[in-house]
Amino acid sequence: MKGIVFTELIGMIEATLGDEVADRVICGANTATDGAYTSVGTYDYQELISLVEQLARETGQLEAALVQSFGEYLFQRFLAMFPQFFDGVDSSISFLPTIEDRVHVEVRKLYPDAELPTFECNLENDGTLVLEYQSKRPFADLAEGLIQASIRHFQDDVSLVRHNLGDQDGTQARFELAPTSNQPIDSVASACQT
Amino acid sequence: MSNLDLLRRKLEREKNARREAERLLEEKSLEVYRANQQLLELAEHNRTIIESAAEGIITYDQEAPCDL
Repeated sequence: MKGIVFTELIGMIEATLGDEVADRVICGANTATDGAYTSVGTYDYQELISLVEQLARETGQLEAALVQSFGEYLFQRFLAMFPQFFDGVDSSISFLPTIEDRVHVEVRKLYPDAELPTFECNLENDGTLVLEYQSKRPFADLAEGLIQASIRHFQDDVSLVRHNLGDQDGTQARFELAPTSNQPIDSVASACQT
Repeated sequence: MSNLDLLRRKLEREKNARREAERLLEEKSLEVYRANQQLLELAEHNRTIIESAAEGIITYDQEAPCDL
């Protein structure tokens, strides 16, 4: 898993819960890297799971909820760090399909071996965006947090429904973003034509 | 000036240095990617020339009075 996910998780813990909690989480997770990550490295995703387990122990919150919150935090960070990916998009329905076509294309230029999750998207006739997340790693909760944050950022009038797929282990899920108000479908029609 | 302040500043410098190194590496990785793409295009171009040249030689051979 890309190092940026690790550096940002630790950054989030430090920023929201303080250095002491971050230190306890890292020490408690007892990972091979001892919490020394760089954003350009690649690390075993099990380390992320260990860190989240420790964070759950530390905060008393559910792991799934923590990973979702982290997804929301990560979206804000991506917005700040990579504003170029948010140029020319004004809604989740126009932005989310670009993850596969623009964002991951750029990531692969820098990291040809990156094993990225896939976000297959389809725009239904009624304007609902159906997004299928598939990964070798169980982070559908992270995807959900990112999508939630995107909806909030663009102030979309959509409802989000998640269906777990496959082995129900978080490696595969379908997200449906259905417009809640009667907006013209024309405005979103070009979103998925790629 | 306390020892702790000193360490904090030192930590901050190290953190900033790491971020700068990461940024630099991504910049260089992109340069390598682009250079590689150019080389691949050039290799493809050269391959086309060589293949065309081979066809040219075949044409020449066919026209050559080699069965005399």
